[in-house]
Amino acid sequence: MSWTSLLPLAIVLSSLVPGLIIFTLREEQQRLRVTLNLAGVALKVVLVAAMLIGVSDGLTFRFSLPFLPGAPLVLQGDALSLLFVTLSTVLWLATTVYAIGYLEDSPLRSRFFGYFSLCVSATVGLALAGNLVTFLLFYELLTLATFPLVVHRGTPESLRAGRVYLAYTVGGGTLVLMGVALLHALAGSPDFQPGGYLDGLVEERGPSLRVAFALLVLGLGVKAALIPLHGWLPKAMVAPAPVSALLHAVAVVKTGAFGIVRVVYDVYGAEAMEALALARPLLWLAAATILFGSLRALQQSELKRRLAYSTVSQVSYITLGVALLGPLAVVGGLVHLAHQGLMKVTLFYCAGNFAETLGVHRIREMNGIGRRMPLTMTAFTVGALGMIGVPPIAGFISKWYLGSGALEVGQDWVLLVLLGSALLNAAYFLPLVWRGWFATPADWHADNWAGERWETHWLLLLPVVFTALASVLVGILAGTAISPLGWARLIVDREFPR
Amino acid sequence: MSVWLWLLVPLAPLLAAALLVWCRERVIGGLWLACLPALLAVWQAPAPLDLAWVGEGIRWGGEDALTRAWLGFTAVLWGSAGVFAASSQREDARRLRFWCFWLLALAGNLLLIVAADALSFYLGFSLMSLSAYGLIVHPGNAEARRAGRLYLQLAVLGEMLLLAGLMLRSHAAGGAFDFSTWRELPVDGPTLALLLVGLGLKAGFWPLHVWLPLAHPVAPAPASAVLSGAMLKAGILGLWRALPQDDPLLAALAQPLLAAGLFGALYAALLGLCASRSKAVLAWSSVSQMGWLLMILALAWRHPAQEMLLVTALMLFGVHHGLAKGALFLAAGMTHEARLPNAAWLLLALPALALAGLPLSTGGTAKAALKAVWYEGAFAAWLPLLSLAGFATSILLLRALWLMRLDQGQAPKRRPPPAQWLPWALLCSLSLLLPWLWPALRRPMLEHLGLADLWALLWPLLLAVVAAEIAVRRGWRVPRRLAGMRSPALGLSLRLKRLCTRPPLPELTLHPDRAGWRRRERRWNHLWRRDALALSAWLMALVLCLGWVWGG
Repeated sequence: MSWTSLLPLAIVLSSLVPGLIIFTLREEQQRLRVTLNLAGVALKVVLVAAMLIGVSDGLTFRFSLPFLPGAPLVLQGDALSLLFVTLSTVLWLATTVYAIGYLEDSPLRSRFFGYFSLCVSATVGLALAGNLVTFLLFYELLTLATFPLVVHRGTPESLRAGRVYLAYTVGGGTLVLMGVALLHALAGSPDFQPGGYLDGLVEERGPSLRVAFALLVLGLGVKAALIPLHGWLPKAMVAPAPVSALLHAVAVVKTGAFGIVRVVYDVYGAEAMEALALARPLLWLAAATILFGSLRALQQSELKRRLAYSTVSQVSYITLGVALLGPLAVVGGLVHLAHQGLMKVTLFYCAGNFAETLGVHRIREMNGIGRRMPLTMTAFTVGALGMIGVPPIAGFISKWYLGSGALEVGQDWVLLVLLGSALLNAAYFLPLVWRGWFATPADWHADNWAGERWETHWLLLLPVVFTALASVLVGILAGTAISPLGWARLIVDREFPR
Repeated sequence: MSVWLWLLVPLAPLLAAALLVWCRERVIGGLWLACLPALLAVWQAPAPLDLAWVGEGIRWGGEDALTRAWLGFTAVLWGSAGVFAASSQREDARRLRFWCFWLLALAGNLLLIVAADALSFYLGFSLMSLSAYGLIVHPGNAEARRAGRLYLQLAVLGEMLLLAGLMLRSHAAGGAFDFSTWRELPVDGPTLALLLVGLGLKAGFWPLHVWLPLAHPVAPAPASAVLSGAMLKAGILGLWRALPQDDPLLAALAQPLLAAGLFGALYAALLGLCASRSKAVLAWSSVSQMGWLLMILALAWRHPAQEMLLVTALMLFGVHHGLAKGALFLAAGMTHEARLPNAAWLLLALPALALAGLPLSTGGTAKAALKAVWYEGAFAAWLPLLSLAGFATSILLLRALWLMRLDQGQAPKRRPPPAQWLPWALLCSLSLLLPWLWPALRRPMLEHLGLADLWALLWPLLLAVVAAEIAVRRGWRVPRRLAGMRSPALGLSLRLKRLCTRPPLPELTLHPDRAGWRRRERRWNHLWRRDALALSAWLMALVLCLGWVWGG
């Protein structure tokens, strides 16, 4: 086996192996645990960087193992999977640092970090999955690995949320299983390929293909939080902040969206989607979710719940871009995969910092918080403005491409959805920014810093500053080849040739 | 090398902001220096800077007269107001926040002027609009908060509409977003409507002015000066840049737009007379003047052949209004805080008279240049109305001067510090000196020195002086009902805010009723007498079978 076939496996193992070792550690072996975690992250960063260079030079990375009859276990590094792998790796790095600071003195850290690593391994495996069966395997693994993280605190409330989470995701997983099984029966499980592999079946097997698509999208829609399958997401907010951050930015929500991208473009393909008239309902569903999520976000009085509904809305931008079936819109959708991740993770870190440092959970407690925690509040402002789509922050680039893409394929009404959503985003984010900077602070804000060097633990501050800066930089440097936008364009050039 | 100057123009304020965060209060005195690169760029006029490595089609800078003039007056105004603010905000407890927003707004304002493409323009535009909010609500009282809320709501709405307009325009241009392409490209109805409303909300001409008379007076004086003098013009500049030169749709729309501008100029003057604070009167005067700028735009769209003359008129008017209005707002701030010596009142009258169209001043020259073109165009019959607007402007400014004079009675008995009156005096004197210093103004000024021209400019002004004299003699007051009038927009803005906090909306999600599901499953199992297979499994098998049958 050459290195090109081992690299995908190594990327998955680089977080799986440390995770498994961490399970065996005793609670007080803090230093070893941190070392293992960071070593795993560092190794993964190097491996992913190597693969990025390889893929941009046109190499293919494929690892295959016999698994089921007719459906091998395939890990494959193409441009699309690398977008997601890189995002997961970068955000895993930041979140690991954050989680080390966040959980410094709390119990059960070995369990937490063990599952944390498993969760990232599953995400990366899912991103690298080369066919539907492998995808399904990691999809289910992810469900199992995230459940202990959601219920980590062990309170009755979090156990209840965990049950809801499990009910939704296992149900969704079952639907995906059925869809995959149906497709396997129809066409086998070949590798994902640009343009899909179902073209030959469209004429004869139209109805079954439609049923399979509905099953897959409904199943994936649970994780991607399409309405009305989003109910678990706000409930899962009881998890610790780093978990929420990871859940929202990469691990769970994004895998759903990523799965939809795969199914639409690498299983069905744009032509089959057109022929089966499947894109339009998906587009409507995405548009409805975007507006509905924003409207619901307005109603929330708790910071994390508001962010959760904002995720419901923002993740559907990806589905929207995909369902538009035009090259520019796909670029917008794909690039939003990365952009939303960066911005949303920033917002969740900030919410975590507020809660951890000052015990602020509700929106009306945020008054004047900018004076006490200026750096965190600045990062929060960057994230919030980015979500609204203010240039030069990353969100603007996504919006521009989605809007131009919608015009390109003649769906002008999507522009209204985008603008309406942006206005609603402004309506629920700007009051938070206003409270932070302009409102009269409560008493406790008056005690400044209290002799600390930074406004909060530096391990909590560093990731926040990093991701906020990254959100701005990927927006400013969007035109360069190394930005997410550059990469998304590469994907579209390569995978969806015109 | 000097090409890179364009990069420094908007970046200098951002660097200054970074310095401010780092060194805190110590650097405030030198922050006005952030305008220097812009002035240097006006002076040197380097070739535009191509930023293709940032993004295809992004270009900053321009050698044309309009860009240079706009950048020049903006930099002078921001610089003078910056020196003024360093002194006037010295005692302010939250001055760091003030200066942060100041520098961000400055960066945005300079960027949107040097931008030669729509994306950079939009970046500067939103940076400026959003940061200006920080300046408006800075006093922190309820009035400022209310005005700020209305401002922000409309600013965000305007930005979204503008973005939609820019996307449509870019789509029509095949993905290109540089202004030079757009200037040649015909525009369609929806795009035009979006751009007009989106940019008009910033420019504040009638009927999109509702936020302006509320927001501009509440900000600290130097902030009002840049808000009214420099930032308003962004909307006009954007319209000029984004719309084509010669377009049948625009030509057809010119008449209603001209009428709107003219009506706005008169209407704002009328409402401004009812305001009881000098800064509010000045803000209404800005609405009125924006009506004039809209008229110039409409005229240019109607007469593409006269474009050169009209772009000059636009430029002269922009420069003139920016400097004069800035000077007046600074004066309104000073008359509140200190007593001006009598000689200073002569200086103070200069920008007011310039706005009223005094010959030999910037305003008189700009108006004469406009009238000359107007006279030859399709709307020559409307000229008397223009004189009426001139009269309205004159009387409005006399009212503002009168209110400032009244403010003096209550002001503390001290002289204004030099750091305040020096920059102010510079702005004031520019109203008279600029026509001599700047060739673009000198030529029209010398051309329009004939007696007929002078009389056309002077009689509305003289009439206004006479009318004001009568009003003062007779002791006319604004009726209480009119003076206490509140803008209905504020109520709507509050309702909107309430609606946004508690939108009436049902919960729309599947709540899996586990107990009920389990009960049904049991009954089902009971029915089938197969305890090993639950309903879920049956369902799954059913779907697979269905697939098999179809697939089979």
